[in-house]
Amino acid sequence: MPYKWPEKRQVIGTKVPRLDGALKVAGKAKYSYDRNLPGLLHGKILRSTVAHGKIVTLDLAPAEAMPGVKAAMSIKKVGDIVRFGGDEVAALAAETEEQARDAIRAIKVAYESLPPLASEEAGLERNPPPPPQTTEKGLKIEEAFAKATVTSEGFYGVAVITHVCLETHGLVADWKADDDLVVYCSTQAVGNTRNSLKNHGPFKAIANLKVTCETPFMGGGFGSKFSADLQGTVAAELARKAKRPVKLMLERDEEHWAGGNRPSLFAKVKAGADKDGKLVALDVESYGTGGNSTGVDMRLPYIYLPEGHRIRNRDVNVNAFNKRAFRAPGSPQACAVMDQMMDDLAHAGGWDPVEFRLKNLPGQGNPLVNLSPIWEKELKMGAEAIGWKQGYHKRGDPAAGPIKRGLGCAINTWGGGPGGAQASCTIAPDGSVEVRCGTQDLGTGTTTLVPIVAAEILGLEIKDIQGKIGSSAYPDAGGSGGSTSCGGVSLAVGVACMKALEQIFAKAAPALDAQPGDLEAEGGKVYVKAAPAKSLSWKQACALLGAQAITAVGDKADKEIQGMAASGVGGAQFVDVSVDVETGQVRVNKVVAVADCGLVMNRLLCESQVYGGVVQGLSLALFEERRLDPRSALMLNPDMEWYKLAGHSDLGEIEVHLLDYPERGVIGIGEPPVIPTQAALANAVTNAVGVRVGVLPITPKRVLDALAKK
Amino acid sequence: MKKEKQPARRPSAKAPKGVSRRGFFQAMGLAGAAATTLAQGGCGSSGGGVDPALQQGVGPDAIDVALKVNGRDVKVKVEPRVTLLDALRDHLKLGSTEPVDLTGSKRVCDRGSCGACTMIVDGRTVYSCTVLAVEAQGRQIRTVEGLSEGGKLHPVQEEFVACDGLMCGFCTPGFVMSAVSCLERTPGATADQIRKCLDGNICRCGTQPRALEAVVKAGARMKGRR
Ligand code: FES
Ligand code: FES
Repeated sequence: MPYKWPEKRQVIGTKVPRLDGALKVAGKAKYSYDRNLPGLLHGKILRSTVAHGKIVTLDLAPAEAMPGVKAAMSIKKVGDIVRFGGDEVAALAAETEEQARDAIRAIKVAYESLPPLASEEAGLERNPPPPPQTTEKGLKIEEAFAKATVTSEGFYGVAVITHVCLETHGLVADWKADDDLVVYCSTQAVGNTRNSLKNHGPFKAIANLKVTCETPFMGGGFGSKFSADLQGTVAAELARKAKRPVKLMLERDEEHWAGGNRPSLFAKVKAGADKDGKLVALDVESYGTGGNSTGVDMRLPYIYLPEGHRIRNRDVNVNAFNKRAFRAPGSPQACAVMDQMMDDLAHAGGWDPVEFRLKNLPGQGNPLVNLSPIWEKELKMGAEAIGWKQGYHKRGDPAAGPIKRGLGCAINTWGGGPGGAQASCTIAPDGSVEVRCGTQDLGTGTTTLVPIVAAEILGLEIKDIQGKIGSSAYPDAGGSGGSTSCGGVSLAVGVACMKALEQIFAKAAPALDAQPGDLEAEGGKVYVKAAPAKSLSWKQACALLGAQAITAVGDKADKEIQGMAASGVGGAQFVDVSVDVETGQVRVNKVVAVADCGLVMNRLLCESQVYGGVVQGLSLALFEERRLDPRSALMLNPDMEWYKLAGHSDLGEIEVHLLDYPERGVIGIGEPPVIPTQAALANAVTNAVGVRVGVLPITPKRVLDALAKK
Repeated sequence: MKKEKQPARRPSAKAPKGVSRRGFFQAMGLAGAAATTLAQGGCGSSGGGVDPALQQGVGPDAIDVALKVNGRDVKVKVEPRVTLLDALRDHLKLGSTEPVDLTGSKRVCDRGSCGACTMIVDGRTVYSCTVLAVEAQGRQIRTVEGLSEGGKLHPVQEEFVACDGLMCGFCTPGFVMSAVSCLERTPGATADQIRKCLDGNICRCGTQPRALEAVVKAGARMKGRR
């Protein structure tokens, strides 16, 4: 019989405060950054001070002679090329962090500078220029435009941003024996972090090497932390040399340089609609950078599908660190282009932006067609909640004075299907339950999710379950990316518990004079469905196991679990802003976020994910931009003063609505809420001031520049 | 209507007088400053209120520093350039008389712009990454660990958990300390006052709305108890 979620749910979908909350608020949660092992050494990396150059001198000897230094190694050698400001050159470990910093400065290094590429535009002008990748679908572009009665043109874009995880990348490496390495790594993937150390790089050759990654807590990843990374391997190498544990956590500037970034996307767009307000044509010439070797995550056209479109994109290289996945890779950028375009086209045709979107939601032939009823509901809910009817005006607030108010909206989609995951459920004769899953908690709430699922299936309370995650020693689960953890982990844990419960039922059935299939577990009891008075307490039932505990394993790959999880959500956000046209300052009054969910597992934490997405989206929309010096390509703002994140007073009121569809099963929603905020805010600003700013972040300067061109 | 004043995101009032790195250089005098590697910070003109012991010049080698943390006396041997934050996080365990492991305060920016390292020193919040350990001698230092000694969480901490004012939790100890200080100094603080108090704390996960809700609730509870 296929497994499915219980119809009547006691724990799933309630508001459960995070179980590790008390440790975190008390400062007692030990993150990788906090691991002070006996004999710990501190590792530091020497990083290039040129963004492009050849190493001509590299001498570690003076550093090795410095006080406290216990191990040193080169990462690159003379003749190697450095490709970004902050590229890794050498590393060492010393007794104290202060000594390690001093010693790094003592390394003799010199570079021969090579001309750097410091901007997307410089990259575009390279000779030969990067070739465009062209995709064309539907009608030929000329034919599509021939159908249009209204057209609009615009330039839209999103600058490169960095992840700014508050806990930087890094790990503590501790060799228990020559072939036994334990790392405490700030990672989104304990399993892959283990694999990256075990199966690649310098330790691959060690026979029977055992690697364990322990990550009970980690301070944010957002897509940038899926392996041990170079600094992790270096820390382990230093630890091996020194025969002492080494902590190597990046400092803030290093995190900006080499901790990951989200590619930019800039697009010159021409779009057309027919007289009925149907999008018919889209022509895009775009470019963006993913750093020194990778490209942008091109997702255009996003959601809306015209009758004909042509996308010509150029991936541009610059001398900066390679991109990493960032919360819903490619989607916020694509959304910022498409939804600003939709707004401009609606304006050109004189249509209301919400109506125009409703009219152009995916129809037959668009793979997202099934989400259209959801978007329709969300757009209506959001419009109602933000006060669209009363507050929306045609482009440009007619109010007198410098403060202009405006409304804007945007919609989004994301997959969030279940990722690969296994879990085990062990039930002991004394009734205790331990559930293990090699997943991790990024702040998303996985630690709390595991006992929720187990308690629901076994008819127990959350406190009765020992949930164990955050170690690669537990059954393998995939990395937490793509919003896949909630689905995958829920399935694996759910099925493991269901299978374990079958064994309990098999033992309890004779005692209750019933068949196993007649039994139910609920409220700490095992009873006969048709005659609930015939029951055993959970403890009594488990005592029937005899001396041996039982363990059952659940796997997301199990064929019998179809329908317990799904993929594909829609979302809509509305933003209300006030803009000072004299200073260019944007102030957020209110954001309404409507998020489509499948079966909500923990309502409290699910809402937090949406709040988090909106807050991050606002921060990206208003402040965040990696600035490279146009001559040297060195990052100008590798800190938290000039690389600004939004603070409390920048945010305005945020209203979150979850739209439940429990019949669809579990769908991950960690990423989608960050997607539409930037576009919605940009549209609100345009509605307020009457001109398109186009490129995000919408800084005061960009607002004033756009107004000056009016 | 002219728009209301832009939010003061990084309150300059955060560090109390005489506990800044600059203050330290003044205190050290020329000999001390020249002897450490921190001289690039620049020396200010001489100021008053200097600890006479420091006027002798200290360092660059590690010196004994006596600190009063969460009501307990601890000793730690650190170079004079070591911040209060690093002294408590990294050196206390290794070099102190008592093996305490105070890693609750986080190092995130290490230069006074995120609030993750917030401690309460002599009743005022400080960014402990901008205070040198030697300068914190003789002061009452409170860290997040001190709030729940004996195992019972402070109302602010309880509300952070109940309202889910935290996600990854890395910023949370700093938020909690700013909030506690805010409510201690301004019992019955309004949501707007609390928001200003928390403006110096940065969160990447986006817990701000619920952190605010948590502090408002804790404030109401604490006031009711008075
Ligand atoms: S670490 Fe001290 S303010 Fe950021
Ligand atoms: S909870 Fe993650 S940074 Fe604030």
